[in-house]
Amino acid sequence: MSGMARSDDVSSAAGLAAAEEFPPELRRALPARDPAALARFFDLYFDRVYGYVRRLTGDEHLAEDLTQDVFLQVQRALPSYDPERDPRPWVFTIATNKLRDHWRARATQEGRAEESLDRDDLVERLPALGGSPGAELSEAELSERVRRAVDLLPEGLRVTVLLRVYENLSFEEIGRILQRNEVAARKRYSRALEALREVLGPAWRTHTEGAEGAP
Amino acid sequence: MSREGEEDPALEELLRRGPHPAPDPLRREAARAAFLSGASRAAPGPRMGAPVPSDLELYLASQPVAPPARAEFRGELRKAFVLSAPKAALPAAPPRSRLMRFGVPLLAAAAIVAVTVLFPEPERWRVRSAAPVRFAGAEYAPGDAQELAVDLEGSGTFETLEAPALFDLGGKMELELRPGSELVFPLLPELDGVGTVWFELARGEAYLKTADGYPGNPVRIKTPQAEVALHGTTLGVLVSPGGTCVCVAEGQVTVESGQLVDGHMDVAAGGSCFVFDDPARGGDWCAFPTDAADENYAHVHDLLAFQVAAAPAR
Repeated sequence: MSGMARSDDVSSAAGLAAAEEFPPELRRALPARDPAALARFFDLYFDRVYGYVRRLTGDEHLAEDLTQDVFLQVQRALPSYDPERDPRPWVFTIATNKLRDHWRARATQEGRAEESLDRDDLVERLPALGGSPGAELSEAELSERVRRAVDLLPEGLRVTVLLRVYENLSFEEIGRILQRNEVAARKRYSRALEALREVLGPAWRTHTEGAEGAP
Repeated sequence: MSREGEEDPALEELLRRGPHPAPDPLRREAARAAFLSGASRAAPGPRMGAPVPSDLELYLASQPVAPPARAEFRGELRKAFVLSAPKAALPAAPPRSRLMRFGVPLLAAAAIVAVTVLFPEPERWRVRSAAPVRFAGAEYAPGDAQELAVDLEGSGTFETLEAPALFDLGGKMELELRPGSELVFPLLPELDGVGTVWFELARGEAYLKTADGYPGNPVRIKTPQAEVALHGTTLGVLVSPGGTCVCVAEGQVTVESGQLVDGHMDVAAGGSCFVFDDPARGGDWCAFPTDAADENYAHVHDLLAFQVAAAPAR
């Protein structure tokens, strides 16, 4: 099967590649809300924040509302932003806090326990997506299946996967965002991958075997 | 062009001189973890160059995180984000002839402004009380406000004795601690909208209000029975031997406790949540009492007085 991204084409992929950094010289202009620095900041982070929020909410309008809140919060907090700090973990902390508030409010409205972002006993039995061993999927089918598998993960695991795979944040940074330590973040990530493999089941095994067998 | 098996010393030399490619961070991480855990000695582990990070991680990374945002939304938000920023007022250059006359004062003023902007003084609590208070075991008289403000920058337990204490965080947050109360004061995080501001009310009564300029850091108050999360609000918390009572004058709070059904309760303005110390009684909700004979009346009355006296809520 050919759709597999190999290690040598990661740089062109959506994630894993080192994320572009906000230029240090512009960081110093952020607290004063310099328009040029703000424009660069927005251009660098908007798509990533929106993608993160959209993926975690699964709803376009809600993602727009929350993304707007995130950038509003950034605007308000900029005067106290420390230019020595990389803004990336800072922005994603704000985004994650917004999501946490949203999930908390939604859980209350629906009269059920809060979402699992703050829980450590995360992996419950997830439904397998089926597929029989040996049955090869087209690239589009596999892509869709992987997307669904990620969406089935509890929020805490999904956040960890997105921050790690797409933002390439360190486990220490992810831990700080989730108000956990580095070891806990690392464990979460490992559990997330394990859960994904389990959910994908035979489809993924067939895919990887096919990729290994490919010339 | 060299054929297979043939040597090409020039190419080899060129390759040797070339820079090493930077290792992929995930691959490096996995290799480091394997090295530290000794996994490579216990069993033949993945070679550097083999697909570590795993195929699954690489596959995930090759997929788009989500569909792109609507161009219209992006454009509008960008405009609002970039253009709503106040333009920095640039000082007009002084006329050459007056340079010497005004240069020195202007430079001094500019230096003061620069120091103020670049190195703003950290937010500090100001405290007022008509009677002595105790902080971290030491007693402070009403005239020791400045010394107390400095000491409050470290965390510690604050106790009011005969009179209430009023705290003000640069107009961003106000707090009133009623007489006979004990509050663990937080080590204040950077007020950048991110770090959580924690209080712990061990006994007594506290009212809290966030104001217009509050940057939005989450605020949480712990009591022996519950944990209260604020969402931009004015509230009062009372801890008595019977339990914790949370009264909300403005906005909304979430009270979290194992005593409550589902582990939490959202309380909107005009409502009170009780979390009883007795696990058998659990928790309860009621609207603000209007009857002065109600045991909760005084608490709510004082909270509303605090709300009126404090700055407008955000």
